[in-house]
Amino acid sequence: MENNESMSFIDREIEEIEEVISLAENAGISELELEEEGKRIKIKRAVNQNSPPLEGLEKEPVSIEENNYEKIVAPLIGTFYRAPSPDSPPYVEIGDIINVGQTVGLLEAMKLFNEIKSEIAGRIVKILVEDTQLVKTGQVLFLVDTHFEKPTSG
Amino acid sequence: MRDKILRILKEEKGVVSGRALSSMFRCSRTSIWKHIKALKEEGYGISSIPRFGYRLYNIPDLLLPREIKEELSTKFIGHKIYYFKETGSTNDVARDLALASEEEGTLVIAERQTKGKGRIGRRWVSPFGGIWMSLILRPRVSPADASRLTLLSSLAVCKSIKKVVGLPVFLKWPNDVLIGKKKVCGILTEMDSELDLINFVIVGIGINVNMDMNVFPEGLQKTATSIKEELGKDIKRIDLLKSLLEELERLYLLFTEGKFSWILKEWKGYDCIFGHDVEVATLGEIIKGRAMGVDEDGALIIKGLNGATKRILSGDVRLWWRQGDSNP
Repeated sequence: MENNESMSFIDREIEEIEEVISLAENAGISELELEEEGKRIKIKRAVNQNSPPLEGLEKEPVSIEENNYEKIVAPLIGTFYRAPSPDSPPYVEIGDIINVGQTVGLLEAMKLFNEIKSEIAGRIVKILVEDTQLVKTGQVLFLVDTHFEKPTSG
Repeated sequence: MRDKILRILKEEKGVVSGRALSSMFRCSRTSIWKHIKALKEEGYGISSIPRFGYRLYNIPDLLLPREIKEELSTKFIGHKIYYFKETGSTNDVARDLALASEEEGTLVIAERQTKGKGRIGRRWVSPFGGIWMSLILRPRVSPADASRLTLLSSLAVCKSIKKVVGLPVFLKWPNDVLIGKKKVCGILTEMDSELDLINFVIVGIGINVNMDMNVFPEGLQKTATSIKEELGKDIKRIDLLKSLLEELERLYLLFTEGKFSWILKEWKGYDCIFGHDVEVATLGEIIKGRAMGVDEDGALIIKGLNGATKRILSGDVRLWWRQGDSNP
């Protein structure tokens, strides 16, 4: 019994350290030190010097919510625009019902512009990126509810 | 037949009789006269001399398809041309054509654009006298590599201006073509793709050729220029356009053969910001540092003030001249 308890204590410690590591990784920092109630966790990470970090690239937060919906991801790395021009309304808003092939955003890399087209139909429930944010290939941009009740006419 | 009549008039350089033409083409003299009338409407200067015939005295300064195709040495670029005296945006026309399965190499050209497009909704001033064109390409490469086409296109413009006009030209990452410190050409590339397949790419190229500075809004006069302004005289736009199409095809074929490194090597030879201190306006942030050229993908490398290097895929580069620096 006692033995079991001490095991789980160690497990908890490991879990905590793992958390700190992933925190450092996500933030892209090489050194992180946390102190709490006489406990201190310090980690150092080797950061790859050969490939400079891409300016403005942020890790997307992972949430359980994503699993309940279909995703529209960035087909390429680049700057994400929600509208065709700063004066235009966004391609889509939360709550909008979209069709297959509908343009939902614009990506730009080195002045090549690429319209992001949805491969699914449904209702936009969440937009995970900001206008003019740098996104990476495969990053989730929109969550789409594909099982919602379609409003019937009349 | 109209092309053939024109060719005969060009070759003869003198008067060609209507009767000779009608017997040559086995048609009535009225039919010949109709073709002549149509050519005159296109802008050709043809005088009709009663009892003698027709004489070509002026080929218009227009980017007419048949003039472009004459002795054009490309394999596929510019073999099909959609020509407009005026249109909204050549990119929009090309896009609609590409969506309707128009083939690779097809060119859309306009003497004037009423809604010339710049980046993200910006306007592009496109009066008569420039070259406003859009090219349909269907490269069989990964969509991730398509942005390389913007560097490729700027190099083609740069080389053709140098060759035909002889002015010193420079490139500013990613695809601005400069004479002195002023922009002479803008390139807007649009892609339509699936996850791992390019449907088409539209390369829109706008070159300020025979344009007076007063056509630009005041705000643009400090940053934009034209070939006429720099050279002090008009040039034959058609010669520049033909050279550009040939250069575009040569570089595009290298690109599709996987030889982008060759293109980059040439591109680097015109890089006017290399080694200079610049500021890059990216998304809500301005990065200052020294431009260290481009990497193998064509991304810009900036060495920051703290010594760290950054890779930039998107942003406007401004030259941030230090005192004592010379111009590029």
